[in-house]
Amino acid sequence: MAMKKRSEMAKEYDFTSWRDFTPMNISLGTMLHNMTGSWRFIKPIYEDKVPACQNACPAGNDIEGWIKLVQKGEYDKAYWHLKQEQPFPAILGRICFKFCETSCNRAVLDDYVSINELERFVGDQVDLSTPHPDLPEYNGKNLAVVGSGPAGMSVAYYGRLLGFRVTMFEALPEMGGILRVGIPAYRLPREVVAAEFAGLKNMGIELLPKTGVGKDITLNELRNNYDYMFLATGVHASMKLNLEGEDQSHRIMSGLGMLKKVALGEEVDLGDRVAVIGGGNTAIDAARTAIRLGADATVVYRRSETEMPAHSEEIEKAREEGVRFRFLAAPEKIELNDDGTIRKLVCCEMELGPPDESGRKRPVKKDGVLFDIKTDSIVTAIGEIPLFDYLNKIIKTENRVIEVNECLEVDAKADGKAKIFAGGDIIDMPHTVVHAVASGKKAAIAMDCDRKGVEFAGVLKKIAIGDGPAISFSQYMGWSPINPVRQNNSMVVDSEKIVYDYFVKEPQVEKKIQDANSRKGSFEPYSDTFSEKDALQEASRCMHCGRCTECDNCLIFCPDISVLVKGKGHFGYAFDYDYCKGCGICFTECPRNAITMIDEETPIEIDN
Amino acid sequence: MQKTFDIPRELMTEEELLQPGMLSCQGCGASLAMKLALKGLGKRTVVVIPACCWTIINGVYPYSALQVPIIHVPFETAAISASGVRAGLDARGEKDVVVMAWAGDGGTFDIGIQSLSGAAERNDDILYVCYDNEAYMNTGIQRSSATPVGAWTTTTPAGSIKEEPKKDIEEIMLAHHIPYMATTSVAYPDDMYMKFKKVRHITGTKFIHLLSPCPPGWRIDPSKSVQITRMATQAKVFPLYEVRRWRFSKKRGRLEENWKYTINIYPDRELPVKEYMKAQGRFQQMTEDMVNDVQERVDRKWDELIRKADGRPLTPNE
Repeated sequence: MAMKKRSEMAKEYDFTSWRDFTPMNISLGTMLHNMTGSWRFIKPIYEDKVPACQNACPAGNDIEGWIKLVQKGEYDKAYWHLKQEQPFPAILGRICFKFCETSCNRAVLDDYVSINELERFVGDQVDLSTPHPDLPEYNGKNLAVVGSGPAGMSVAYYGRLLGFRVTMFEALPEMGGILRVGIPAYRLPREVVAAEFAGLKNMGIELLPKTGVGKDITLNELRNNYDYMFLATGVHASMKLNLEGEDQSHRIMSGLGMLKKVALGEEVDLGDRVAVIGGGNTAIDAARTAIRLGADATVVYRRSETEMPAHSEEIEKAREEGVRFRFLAAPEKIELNDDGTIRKLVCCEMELGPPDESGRKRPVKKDGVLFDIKTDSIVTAIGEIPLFDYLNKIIKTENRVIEVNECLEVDAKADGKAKIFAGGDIIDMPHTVVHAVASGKKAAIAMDCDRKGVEFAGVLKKIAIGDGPAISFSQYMGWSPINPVRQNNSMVVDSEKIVYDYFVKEPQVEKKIQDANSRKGSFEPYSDTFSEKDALQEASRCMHCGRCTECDNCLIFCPDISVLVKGKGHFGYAFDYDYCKGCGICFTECPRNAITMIDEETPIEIDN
Repeated sequence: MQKTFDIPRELMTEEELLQPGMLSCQGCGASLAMKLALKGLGKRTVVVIPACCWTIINGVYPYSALQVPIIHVPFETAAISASGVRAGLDARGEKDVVVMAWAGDGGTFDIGIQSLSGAAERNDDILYVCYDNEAYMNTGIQRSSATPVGAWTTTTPAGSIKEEPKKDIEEIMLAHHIPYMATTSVAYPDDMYMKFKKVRHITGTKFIHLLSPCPPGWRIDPSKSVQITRMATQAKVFPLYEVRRWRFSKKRGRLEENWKYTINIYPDRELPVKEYMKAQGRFQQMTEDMVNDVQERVDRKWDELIRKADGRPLTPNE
């Protein structure tokens, strides 16, 4: 910094005889010669850290960063900043599992920030089909992406940003995988998915729908024609109930199968009453879809509501729309009529026993307590499994997952040109869209490391975010953060590090949702994106944990006048280490922990 | 949205009236208090300092950390010296200069109270600030009459606990019919700024009681000094309020006097006194019963203050 050091202005006076004394005891100069910095044994530094929300996000979405841009009204910039770590804000802003909101530090004060709604707002500000403004030249390698779900989309997006020539293969006639055929349109409109694919296409990614690998083209062909392959075929088959008569009726179907038919506009014969078996999101989606098709839906789940894996918000909405729930019940027998319709579903009453390995209470049958559910059709949604026929046993699978190493690379048997990576629901990780997106990002970086001949493990250490599994794409690319200050990507700012005294309680902006009666009649989305006013108000609730906002607290509270403003055109402050006594008041009074105290001897380069 | 302090930014960034290199301890509340007070008072200020921490903090001859005139005076003469400076400035016609006597709690509550009482009774046009760190910290933490019940000092060590409550200096000063009295604390810089700015425009004796943390004397970590001072206000141990006197002479045939109490900071969260005391090493010898007594006294005083601020007359036995 160009500022003149104050210590250079220091002046000392030497009295050699009594004649030098002033006629009165009057001071001649300041105390600047007394460099109190030498008293210090710990020193403060400005350091931006990882907010709890970003740490919780599997994709490492820089939420604080783009919310800061939203606050300034720079929606375009916010959109592109968001896409650095999570490329599909319009999609995930609607259907994400919201790990960020559950860990938001604001919840301690009043309520979490509606990050998901804000993400949707940002996603809707820009035409989704706009290609990335700064596309690199192709690097000479090509990448085949098998499956066009969220993992495939993510690897294609990041792969293209790294210079790969990308081709996407999709077996279904529509691109989007589970986003297109698994998630009902009222949660994720088809146009949004289509627009994202238009964006990918505009970036130069080749999209090949109706091209099933193993059907229209073999895996080996791909292996010989491409340098890199990414398998993200997802889970599209449903687990069986293992009951007699399960396959003998057209009125018994899988949840995903039913959703897929509805999504592709095919006829579904449900009858008047539907029993959905299972407690996950597919079960809820199937039940709500059945309601929209005019049927009466009951969800039958063998544990109680607290154990349900489905999102509690979805369960609430389903209940409002008239979905009934029958907890602690497991199907025992299906009785069919002669014409293949269902006479009744016999269920067994359950009770909860000791916890199993998943930590949830294990359901145990109550002896002989049976009861009937009168239903016209049965939808099974007790779990989804992948179909691995197309792999031709070239790739090892175990327990319904493909085994991958740290950089998501698959150990393939026979040799071929391509290096194979896998991601999404077919590897061992939680089945959520954001986890799939994260796996795509990781695989793209791993491929680039492989192309450059860099060891991935070393890179991973440098670009890891917080203590979670997330990695940062922007750091891999060397893009600069919003705050031009020192970054610490390993320290997470949780609620204990926030000074809540500095924040005022402010309720969440209410989400405008149509009432249950009007929404259960259609597949249109039932909630609106935030208006600009709402978005700005909600964004203003963000506490910017761990990131400097130039709030002046350190400047005001420094008792030794050792915090200096860097001046116009520069961001933030600088410490005057000539005088800082290392008391640490700036550290404790920083509302958001953007200051760190370090040992005086720590060799650290500080840009002052 | 963050609560930010309502202090003009230019004031914080422009040239300081206090230069670093001061001899205050790490995390000193007194040097922070002076910095913030001068933000409100501005350059046209003369500071009169009796024996107290600030005698040391300002530096040794021939140096001075303050960039405004400062006069060191004997312990008991802060107010009367300020009155003298005032008279001298008046003679020279420099009416706009504020004379601030800046004394510690010892120099105010104990040693300087006679000259302060005299100046206040004459209503000399001075500002008297007592930066209260609740003991004679400069000489090595001896008990003063501002030391709260149960606090450890070298003269009230473990075993001979201080049982007398802190002297009620605010009411003593108000009994002198001064035009302005306020309490403030370094944990609320905008409150401090507002009050020091306000006193420039009030003629007569102004008294500001300022809570200033002392990490060595309070037995706290230097980094926590502001935090714990804030807790004092949140726990209502040190409420921040101001009192203006309005005098209506000869109304309805008699002299009428009216006091306007304003509470500036209402605590935004419930904080028991126990939490405030637990955070400090000096209160470690207190028993549960003593803490409860303190809590009771604090609650009573707060209720009284609220009623005064509402303007409701107190009942005779209050």
